[in-house]
Amino acid sequence: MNPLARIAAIARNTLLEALRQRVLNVILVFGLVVLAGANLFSEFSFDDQFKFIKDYCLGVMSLIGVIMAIVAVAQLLPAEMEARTIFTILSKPVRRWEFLMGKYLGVVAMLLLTLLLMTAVSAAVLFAQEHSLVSDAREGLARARDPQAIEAAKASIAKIAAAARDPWLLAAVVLVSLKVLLVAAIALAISTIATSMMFTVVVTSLIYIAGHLESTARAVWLDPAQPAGPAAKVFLAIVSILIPDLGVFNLIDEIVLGNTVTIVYLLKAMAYAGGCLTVVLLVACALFESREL
Amino acid sequence: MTSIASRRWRAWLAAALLLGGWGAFKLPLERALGAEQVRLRYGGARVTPEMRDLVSQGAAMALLSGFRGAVADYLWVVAHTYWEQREWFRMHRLMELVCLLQPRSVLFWDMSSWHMAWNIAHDARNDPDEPRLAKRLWAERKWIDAGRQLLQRGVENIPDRYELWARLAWLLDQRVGDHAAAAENWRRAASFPGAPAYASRQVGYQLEMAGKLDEAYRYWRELWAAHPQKSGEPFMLWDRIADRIRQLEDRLQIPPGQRLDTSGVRDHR
Repeated sequence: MNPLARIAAIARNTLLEALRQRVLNVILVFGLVVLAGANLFSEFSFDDQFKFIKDYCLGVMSLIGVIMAIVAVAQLLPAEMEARTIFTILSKPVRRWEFLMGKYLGVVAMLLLTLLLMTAVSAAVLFAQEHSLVSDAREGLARARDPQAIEAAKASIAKIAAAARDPWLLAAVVLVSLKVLLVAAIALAISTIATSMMFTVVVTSLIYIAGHLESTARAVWLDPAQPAGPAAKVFLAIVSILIPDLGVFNLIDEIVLGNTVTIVYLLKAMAYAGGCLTVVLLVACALFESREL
Repeated sequence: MTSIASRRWRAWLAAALLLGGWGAFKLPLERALGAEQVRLRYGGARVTPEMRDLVSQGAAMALLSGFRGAVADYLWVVAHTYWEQREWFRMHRLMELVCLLQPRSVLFWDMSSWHMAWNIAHDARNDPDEPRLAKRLWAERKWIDAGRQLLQRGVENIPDRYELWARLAWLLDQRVGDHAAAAENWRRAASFPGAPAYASRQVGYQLEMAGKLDEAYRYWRELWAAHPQKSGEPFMLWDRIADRIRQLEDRLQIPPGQRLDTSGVRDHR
């Protein structure tokens, strides 16, 4: 059996275990119900509605995705140790890094399935809203007699369709997915040195928040004009070096607002996420190699 | 025992080297991405202690966790409840904050300035609790000015779309009465692709209202000359433009030989 087959076997098992876990299913169902309620903004104008629905859906996807990533990864190793299955697996010709990668890829598959499901529900909400607004606009079009009113109604229908079917939303979903996968990798690296599940959950959550403030820390550290003492500067330097800048994913806001997003910037953000992901996984493997089991 | 300890040290060293090496590599990359974000005007203002004081603890946590858009939407809904309760100052503070959180949102700048310059200003003028007219007029001017200032910050943040230029022009025309400035802003709005046809016409109307008749006449002629195929643009209302040109030619006493031939224009309404 080659390493890839071993990793695939562990990943498959991990995915099946994750799908059977009640806590993850409850979080997912909660997320889907919350997403389905996104058209509660229907009393606003259609510009507002689409912005709010998109913000809401992407926010829920991001939040539920991150929670599921942290919870799923945090219990991977403790559960294996408690059930003592890890010792059985590692006594076979399976390297530690293969075991860890298999576990991670299993969680990745579960997270991608979850995100796919949430994307489908979000798309359905957007479609339903589009359908309802276009029906109203069509009624207005049928009543219109003046050519200017007819043109305005047609423009309104086109605007509604463009707002609801913005292809850039897929790029936003990709960015949300990358962010979730990065958080899962960070949780995995933490869990290799953690002695409890709670430690992994708390530390990863703190890193997640710090990741959104990394750009501020970096700016204060690198700007000599900023008033910060030497100890603070050292702390900020450590934060800036060790923690990924999750503000890079703020591009999602621009996509929702319908502002021009450059492909080059998007690709750079994705490459940055890929780089962070690779390094964090390598660190996780290195730390897991040294763990006493 | 020694072997385990040395293996652990080696692993930690490898992890530290990996993170340090990546950190040294990622810093210039992050700075470049940050600079590009500033250049492309992505993202909003940094979260400050003042902002944190304005929002609830939960919203502050959400802000710090990267849910800027969702927090802005939530605060927008809260601001609307203040509108229903006629709590103008709270509404003003929240709308300023929402604009600061998402400065690239046309909707927030547009609606906030509209609330201030129209709705609140109107309410201030007709405040039943204030018997002094002078004070009510002063309050009205103050709110109109707040709306104008907000829109001016809006166009600084979104200078590359027509909407806020048009809104500012509209406000200057309807609420401030500065028609020359309105004409200038309509001109900016009309220069963007997707701008409505009336933006081009408004430049001429506003110049006329500002008393700049020569400039208005020149503008109308330039607009006329810039669109030789007039039949494909029904919403330009060329017949009305032709009316304006003829009226200005009479008022400015343009000699018959120098007048524009507008006779071929049909009513495209």
